[in-house]
Amino acid sequence: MANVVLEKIGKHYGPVEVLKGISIEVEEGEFVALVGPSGCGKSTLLRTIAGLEDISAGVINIGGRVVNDLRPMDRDIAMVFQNYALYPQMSVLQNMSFSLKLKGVPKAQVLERVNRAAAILGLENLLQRYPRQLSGGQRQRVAMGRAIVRDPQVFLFDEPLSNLDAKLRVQMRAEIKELHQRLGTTMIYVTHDQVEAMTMASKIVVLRDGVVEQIGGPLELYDNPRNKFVAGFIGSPSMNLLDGKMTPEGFTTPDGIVLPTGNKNPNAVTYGVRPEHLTIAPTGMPLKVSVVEPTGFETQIIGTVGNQHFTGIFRDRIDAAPGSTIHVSSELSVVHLFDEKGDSLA
Amino acid sequence: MVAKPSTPTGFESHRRRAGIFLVSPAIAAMMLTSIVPLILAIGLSFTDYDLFSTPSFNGLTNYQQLFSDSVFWQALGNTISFAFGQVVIGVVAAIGVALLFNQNLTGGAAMRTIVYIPQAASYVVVALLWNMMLDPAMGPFSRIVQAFGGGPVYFLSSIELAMPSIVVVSLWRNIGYFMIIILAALKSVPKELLEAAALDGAGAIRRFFYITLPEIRSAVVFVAITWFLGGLQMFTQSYVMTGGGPINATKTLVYIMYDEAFSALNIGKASAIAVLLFGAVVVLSVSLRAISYLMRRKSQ
Amino acid sequence: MSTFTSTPFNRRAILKMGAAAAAVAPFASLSGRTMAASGEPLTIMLLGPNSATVDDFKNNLLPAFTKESGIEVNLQTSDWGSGFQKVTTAAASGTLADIVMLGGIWTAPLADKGALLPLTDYLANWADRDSFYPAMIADGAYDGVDYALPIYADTRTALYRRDILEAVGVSESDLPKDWDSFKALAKTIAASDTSAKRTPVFWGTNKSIGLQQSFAQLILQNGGTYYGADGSAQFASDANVEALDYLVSFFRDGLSDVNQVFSGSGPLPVVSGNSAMTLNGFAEIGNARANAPDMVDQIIAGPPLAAKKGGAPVSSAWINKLGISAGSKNPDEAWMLLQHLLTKNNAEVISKDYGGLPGRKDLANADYLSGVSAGFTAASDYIVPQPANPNMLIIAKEINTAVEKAVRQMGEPAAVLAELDAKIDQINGR
Repeated sequence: MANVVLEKIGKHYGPVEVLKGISIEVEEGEFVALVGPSGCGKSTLLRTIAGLEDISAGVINIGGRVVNDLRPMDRDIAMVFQNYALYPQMSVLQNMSFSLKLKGVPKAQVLERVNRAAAILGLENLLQRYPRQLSGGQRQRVAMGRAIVRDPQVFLFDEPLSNLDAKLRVQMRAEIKELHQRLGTTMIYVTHDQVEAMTMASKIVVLRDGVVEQIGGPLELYDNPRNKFVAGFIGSPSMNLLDGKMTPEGFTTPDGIVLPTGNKNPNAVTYGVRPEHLTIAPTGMPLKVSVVEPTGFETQIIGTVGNQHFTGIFRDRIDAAPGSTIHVSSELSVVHLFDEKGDSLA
Repeated sequence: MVAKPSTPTGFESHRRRAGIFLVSPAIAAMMLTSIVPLILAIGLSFTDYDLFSTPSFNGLTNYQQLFSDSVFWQALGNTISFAFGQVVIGVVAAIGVALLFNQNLTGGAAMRTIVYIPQAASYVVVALLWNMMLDPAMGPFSRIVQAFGGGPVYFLSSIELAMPSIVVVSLWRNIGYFMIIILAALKSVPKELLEAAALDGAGAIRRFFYITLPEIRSAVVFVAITWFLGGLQMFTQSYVMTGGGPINATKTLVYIMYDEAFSALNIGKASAIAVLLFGAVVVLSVSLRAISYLMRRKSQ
Repeated sequence: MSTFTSTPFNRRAILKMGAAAAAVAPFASLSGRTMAASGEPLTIMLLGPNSATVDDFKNNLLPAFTKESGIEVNLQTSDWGSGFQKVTTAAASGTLADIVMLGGIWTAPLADKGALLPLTDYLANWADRDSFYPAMIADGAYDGVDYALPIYADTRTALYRRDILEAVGVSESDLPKDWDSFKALAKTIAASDTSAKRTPVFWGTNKSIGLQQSFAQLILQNGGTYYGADGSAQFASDANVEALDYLVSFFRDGLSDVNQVFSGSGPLPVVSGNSAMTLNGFAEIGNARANAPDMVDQIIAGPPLAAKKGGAPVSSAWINKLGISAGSKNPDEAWMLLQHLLTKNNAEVISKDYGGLPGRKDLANADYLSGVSAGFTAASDYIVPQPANPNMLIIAKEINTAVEKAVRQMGEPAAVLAELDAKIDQINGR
């Protein structure tokens, strides 16, 4: 187990800067998710930690050791790849024992460690199989098994669940989280799926265009997004963001709809409220319904406020016909305001 | 009662007929260019035939004569050592060069073209060019040796050097083609596998043997078999560069076949050599296929 | 518009002309040999012609014949390397040219297969026959029947580099006449500091049968034969073993080098000065002209060698000939063309273009030979022809390999030649 400290990591391909001075501290035993839209640099950042990519600037520190110039194999980390990267001509057993074999670990010890990892992951009966004979979920487990066997200081995951179907993804999500709790090893987990990040990580790093937008616990990011980007990225469905300006009456949209706010900061140009924070209220803002999606547990209504897109989620079963207008409102404490630059005015 | 297999539907039988119709020109061409000559050669190998008179059946005489002829055995040995030597050195070299080009070095595309260009030249041109290169008096290689105080090197007139020289020339001619095939295979090796192996503690050499080589295995096997079978038919290089000499040192099966057919007008014996060569190729390819089939089964 | 109106007219005209031709045709055959009776053109196949030869055939020799006889002639050419293959396969499939060129030892192989037309009847009434060297006419015969006539010869004798000889104090009048003096000269050169001291003698070793050609000359000089009266190979005879011993001694004594192999291009060793002595023909001059024109004057042809002092000198010759295909549909016309090509003037053009010595005695002093060592033509009087054998092409290769073995000290001459006899008897089906 070790902590990972990234100081001002920079990376460029020719004139294109993909990482722009990223600093992150990962505590020992912490589960950190790197999240962001595609092209934000999250995978590149992970690969620089692994040593698969060189960095142009900054310091990478793993367990108190600067590893900038160390080869991947010397950094004492293990990585699980998006497509698993299992060695196709090796059996599960051989895949899992490969690193130990290269290190010259005695055979008996290798077997013991592989068996232990296989037991954790439920792979005991698959050890003699070849990767092509396994299902997607099984391959995923073998990939993790290969990492576990090495007993590394840090686990790195590069979008490990994106090749699985939705149901399996949910299951594996839980398994990885459980694994983390069991092993207690530091894990850095890259995903573009904020739900995955929210459910699994104890700390989330939101990246955009090679820059850290915000670092914090899942609820912290949910409750207090530092800016419009994080606000929109964290949470599903996304936060409603309405353009407008502050007037003495409150936040007023271009259509003249007035939205009540607690904070009257005159710099506010965007009003944000999460769909799940809305309730039906006859005095609230008018939401013109275009689509109603009842799931039984909740009802999602998609429509417009004025001319702007707007979504609401309600615990109640709402009987609203498309084309009709309902009125919704939220508590003032969950309303977010953002200025011209997109920074939160909370 | 055994259930009858379902008869093809109208659409399916139409498709089948269309298929037969479409492949028939190819089958006809193959019959004409491969099958018929092969059957003719097999038939003629049991005859005494000089192109002019009617072939007369003489049983296994041609084969008996060949098997008792030391030059035949020498040519067989030369052919195999040429094909084997070229393949062993060639495959290793082709992989090496392909690995180099796979590093995406600057100027790689130009270098790749340069390595590939000899492939576009006919063997005759290549052989004539290398005749000059290997000339003991005027050739650059011999001159380099002489510049370092050695005597002239008789690449093509020394019994020991003649065949190795032809192997090198043939390698130079062929390596580009096979290198491209291996390079294509290298490009399709998943990068993550190599990265995973690097993280698992494998250095460049172990990554090559544990990951890259198994991944490109089928391309390498293909290259080796094609190259070897091609090598069994070597003729032009010997014909142009050494005339089969010195003292038969570079005579190949095809060379003595040519001599029997067109110098001795002994078509029957020439056919017997062709049949033996064909038999060797068939046996080799079938057994190689069997081996690779067994290897695949073992790994499944 | 004009095509629209003229088409019917043209068609009618063509029909009329066709009818007229059909009506006239029977008379044409009656009108004598000067007309192209068959209406079919002749074809002639030349081997290894250079561009001067092709030009002369296309622009002068053949048009002159066509003008005189009304017979068109098509020219085919092939390189020497694949020539025999092309001629035999064409003969076997009945597509051989009416007139075909033959290499030195080709008469027997082709005549034996019935590919050549016997010229006996034609030659009986041919006045020009006596103008040719008898040995060269004999080279076109097989089993007593004439099949081909000489167009040029590569007569081989001992050749020397005048400047190198002068450097070691040997003048043109002291050239060797027998084996001992030939070898003595080689030793003198080896002891000199001339450019040829490392390999004074080049024996014609090449990728083909050059070594065999030199050995053949030595055999004939020593009175040896290829075959006995019963046709069995006699290469292991005392005379032949002695000839091979003599040849091998040059390599053993460091007067020749087994690795000196002519690659087929570039200067021959005597032309380049790496050697000073060789047994070759007029082709040496051609090689000098192409590679080192300054050397043309320096190459001199000595008298043909005799094995023993005072013995009979012998030169050998590789005589290239023209014959008529047995499958020719118009043999009479082919004979007319053959006669045309062999007239004194035309034969001079051909042998000059090919860079060979003339087959006609009356060309011994031809203009193109002036300035060239007189020894070349003088040697023509000492030609002993190669024995005719239908398998000679493959046998020549076997002889070459055997001689190569001997000179590389891979077998004693007597043993090598005994082995060769067995091989040749097998080839000849004995």
